[in-house]
Amino acid sequence: MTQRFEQIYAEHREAVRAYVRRRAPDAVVDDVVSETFLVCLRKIGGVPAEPLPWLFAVARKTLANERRKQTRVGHDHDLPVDEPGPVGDGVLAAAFNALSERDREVLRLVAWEGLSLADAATVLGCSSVACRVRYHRAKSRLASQLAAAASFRPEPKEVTR
Amino acid sequence: MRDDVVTRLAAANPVPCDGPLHLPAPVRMRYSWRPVVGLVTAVAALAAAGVAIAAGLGAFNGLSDTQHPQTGPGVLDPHTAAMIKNGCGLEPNPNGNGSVEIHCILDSARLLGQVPGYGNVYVLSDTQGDLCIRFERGVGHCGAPLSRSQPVVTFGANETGSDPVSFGIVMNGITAVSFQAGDQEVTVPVKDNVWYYAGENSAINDMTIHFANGSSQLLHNDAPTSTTVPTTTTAPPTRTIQSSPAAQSSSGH
Repeated sequence: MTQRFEQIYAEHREAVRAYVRRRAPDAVVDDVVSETFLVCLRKIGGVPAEPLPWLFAVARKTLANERRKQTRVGHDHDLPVDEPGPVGDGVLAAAFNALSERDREVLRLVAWEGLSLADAATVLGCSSVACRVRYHRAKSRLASQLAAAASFRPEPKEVTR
Repeated sequence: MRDDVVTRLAAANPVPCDGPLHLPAPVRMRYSWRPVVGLVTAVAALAAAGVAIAAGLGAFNGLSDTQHPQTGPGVLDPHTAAMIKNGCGLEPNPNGNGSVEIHCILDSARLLGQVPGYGNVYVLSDTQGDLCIRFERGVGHCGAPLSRSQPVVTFGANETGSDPVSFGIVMNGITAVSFQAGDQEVTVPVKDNVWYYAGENSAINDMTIHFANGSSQLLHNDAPTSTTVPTTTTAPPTRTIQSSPAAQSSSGH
């Protein structure tokens, strides 16, 4: 049991850490990763043969708990917590951030974690079919947001002065 | 499974690899006087700039993005420095008729970004600790620093023979703004704390700001606005000035 946990920890620690870093400010990353592997150790007998999607699912729930905790202690002021978004592409970042968290998460799992839709479904706790529908709708909405952002005209217009 | 949108998103991954990140490589240190001399020079330069930085700290609340290096009169070309200085002399009184005197601290001037048709956007502090926004060509505005309750300053211009334009300055953490343009809602990205949109729109009155974590906030400006005379409104949460380069030059600023 302990040996399996050690193997899982050694193989997937950095992937879980990267997953959390893509969704949470640095201040909470260590806590969430530690809690995720604590759950893994407690439930080691029920961890699937391919543990990574399962670990992501645990990290996702742990992160949600952490956010609820922050809210309870009054950290939900006017401005939101710092959550990493797409980097190096301002238009994409704006379009991505305009999506719902539900849409963003399925896109993150595929684009950033590189998961298949079946594995993404495990993380999200839904069926593969539901995940596929969710993914394609999220992708369409992101494309629509990008098209709307394209209405931004960076060049000055001819004006009468 | 992937298409262009998802590939583009994958390329913008904020944590692109699963391995240990940002671990500084060990550096072999060799004692030498050269770095010490360099350090002393750097400290002296920082001390000289410190006054200007300190002056701008309060005024630049929410605009602390380090990718916009601070500039000073030595960096500004004489024409721009003169323009900023002249623009900081008098400001329309937001509480009534006449003007109020504004004393900008030129050393605190910092290039923020650019607005099409209006050129570079500079922010600087005045002696009251307020935030002054100056455009290379045209309008400007001085008022309370940006804050959570007033995260946006919006400018609007409606010139004869051309589409209205709206642009503005927003606090860090705001990645896009949305408003009605005709019968559709448009989302405009924020770049360097600045956004710009050309076309009929309602940004001067109602706007939704989008934060980096995907949340958003609706802002509404209750104050009356004008499209012909430069006016400044300070109704929270959106502060607005409406003007145009033509109006600016004819009003003598």
